[in-house]
Amino acid sequence: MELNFAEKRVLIIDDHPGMRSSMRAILSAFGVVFVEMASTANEAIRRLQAKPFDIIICDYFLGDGSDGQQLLEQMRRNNLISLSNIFVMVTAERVYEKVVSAVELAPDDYLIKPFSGEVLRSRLERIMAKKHAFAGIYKLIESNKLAEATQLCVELTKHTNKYTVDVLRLLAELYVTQGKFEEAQNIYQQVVQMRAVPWARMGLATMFHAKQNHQEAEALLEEVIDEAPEYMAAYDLLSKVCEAQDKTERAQQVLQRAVAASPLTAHRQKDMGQLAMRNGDMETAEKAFANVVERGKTSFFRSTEDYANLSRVQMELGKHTEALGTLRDARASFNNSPDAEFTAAVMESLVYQNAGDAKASAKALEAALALQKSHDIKGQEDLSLDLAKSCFAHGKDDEAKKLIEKLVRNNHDSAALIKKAKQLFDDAGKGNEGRAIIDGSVKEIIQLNNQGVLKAKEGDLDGSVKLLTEAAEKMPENLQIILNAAQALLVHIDKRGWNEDYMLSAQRYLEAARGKNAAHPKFLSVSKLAQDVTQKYGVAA
Amino acid sequence: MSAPLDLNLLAAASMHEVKNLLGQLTLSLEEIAQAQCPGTEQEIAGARFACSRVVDRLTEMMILYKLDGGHLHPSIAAHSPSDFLEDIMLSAKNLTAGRIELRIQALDQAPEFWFYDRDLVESAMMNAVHNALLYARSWISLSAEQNGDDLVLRVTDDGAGYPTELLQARLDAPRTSDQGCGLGLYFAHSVAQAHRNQDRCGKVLLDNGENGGAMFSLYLP
Repeated sequence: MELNFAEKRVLIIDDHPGMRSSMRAILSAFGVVFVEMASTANEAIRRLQAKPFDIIICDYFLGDGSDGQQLLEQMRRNNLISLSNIFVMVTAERVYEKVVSAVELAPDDYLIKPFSGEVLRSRLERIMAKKHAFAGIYKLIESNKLAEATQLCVELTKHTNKYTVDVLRLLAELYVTQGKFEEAQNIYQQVVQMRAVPWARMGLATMFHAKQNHQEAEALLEEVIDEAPEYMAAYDLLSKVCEAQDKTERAQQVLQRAVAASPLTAHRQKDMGQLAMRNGDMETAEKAFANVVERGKTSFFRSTEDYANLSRVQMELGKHTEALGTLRDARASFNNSPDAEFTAAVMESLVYQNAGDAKASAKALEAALALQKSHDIKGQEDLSLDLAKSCFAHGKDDEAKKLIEKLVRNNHDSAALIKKAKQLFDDAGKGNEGRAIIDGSVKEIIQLNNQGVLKAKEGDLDGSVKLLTEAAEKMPENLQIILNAAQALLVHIDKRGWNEDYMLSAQRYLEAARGKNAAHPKFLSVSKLAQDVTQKYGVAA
Repeated sequence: MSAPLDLNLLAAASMHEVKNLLGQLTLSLEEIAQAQCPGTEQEIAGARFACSRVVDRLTEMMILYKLDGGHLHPSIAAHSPSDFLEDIMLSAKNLTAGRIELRIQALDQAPEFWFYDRDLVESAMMNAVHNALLYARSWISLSAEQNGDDLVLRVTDDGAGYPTELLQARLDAPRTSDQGCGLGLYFAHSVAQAHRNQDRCGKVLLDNGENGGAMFSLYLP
């Protein structure tokens, strides 16, 4: 296959200047003209944010404590590279081979140093040929036409070639994204029968977990970890499986093993911190959250939530000075953004309260409430609960109730949140009143939903739209409600004729839903409906 | 009291360092080769061959070194044997500067994909290619074919063939000899043994071909 390297934009990521320039010389020998170089993960991300690259060649060890695999995952999760871009990992040691066989997001290929220019060229050409063979599927996936992409994959599996196993893996992943767990499980089973490769067994375990088949998932994951102890995602899933069975101590132990093997992954430290807090193991929780904050200082991907978590556990341990210090750091680290100010104020109100300084606590609470009003802050759930807690402590019962009611309305199907909300009322000595408010809200939403859906079934499309869009405006964060509202609007257009305003509202709800959970099966089916309806009326999407 | 010196750790670290330095040396050779000074092709190829053999020997040492408990753990994935042989040929071409002809035979006999550890098998095969480069008169041939439930990867040359004592030798322990090919064969044997599929495992067979040249065969279940 004839390839024009002169058109390709290449990014070389390596912390070693000598390696960077040697790599550039090798690439220029086969016609690459456009090369940029980065010496750290953050620099690489800055360059990718500025412009896209066709080919990324990245060293696995990046010197600054991060590694190429983490960088690849950050790039893919934040859509900095697309499916058609090429990512090649370069490593001096064979350890990466273990890593790559056990990751969800694998690079297109990896090379072990030293290698010749010819081998690099041949590998790049082969990847390009593969991308070419998959181009049709990638295009469909990127325009969210998952059913069509699936169909194309199924076609490709009918003829065995060197890409067969890759197609099967992609097909299984597509089924998972569309919530078709039975189909995905069959594909993973098919691969395992060919050879029990770790990713296929991991896929099977994920399907068992999705179907709440906890014991089978647990047994299979134990096997995977036993055979491939470097498979970090297996620990994460095993921990979730244990948690789902209320074995929180064991869930924490499992994560602790993974953290010991790979201490740099922030999301796992965060999960472990949360588990440790639930288990009352505050020392471990503090260590884990402190790690997350520390990692975040040099990373693009960090949040004020990390500081809130750390200060919360420090407060629980009675380390009030440290907790306040953490919150000062949060403000400084995020340049006093409204979000950081709000986070700090909420937590300060609780820390001062705990430390016996009621006056300072009240002042912080006022600041938090004022910020929430003036800046429309969408605080995380735990922070909103903390704000409610502080309101109770200062006798602002009405504010507290309103906050909790809103949280419950937006998350009526989250058992964990409902439990925490009830606990909050119990702690404030208003358990009975709380249960009435919470259960009432949940019931109200379920009824609203059912009524809206029922009206649509009975043919009262206007009534269905009115009921569900009103609900969606009241509870803009409730995934089920906004998706049902979007569906009601789309069905109305489909049956009663084109309506520009309805389509705009439906798209607004879909955008909001995408931000909450783009992999939700209902989101995918309503998105598909939006496409079909748009096509039916010949309107350009 | 200072901690006792961990010689094993020190040895492993040194090997890594030497291997990385060799990596840089190989890259420098690439840059020299690109300058295309007439009359230096054979010397550059010779230098590359030397580097490549040292790197491979170090790699084998490091992999076997982790063997301690007799457990070599392959990372199994699906690969295309024909792509795999092409990569090996590309690497090998670099080492001869046209002195020896390299061919790939009958790729239509090769399965579309096979499950194996690409890097371990590549090390084992490169070792066989290095030996062939030392002994071949004019050509080396690579092939891949399915034989029953096995993938057979083969390196054949037109040299004098393996000496009788090597054909009769057991490969399950490293031998020391003047030619120094003991470690490489032991390594290839270990790699083959580590590849298990259900109840079968791989093997290495040494033989001399019809033309009398050496024939190295790696069977992967």
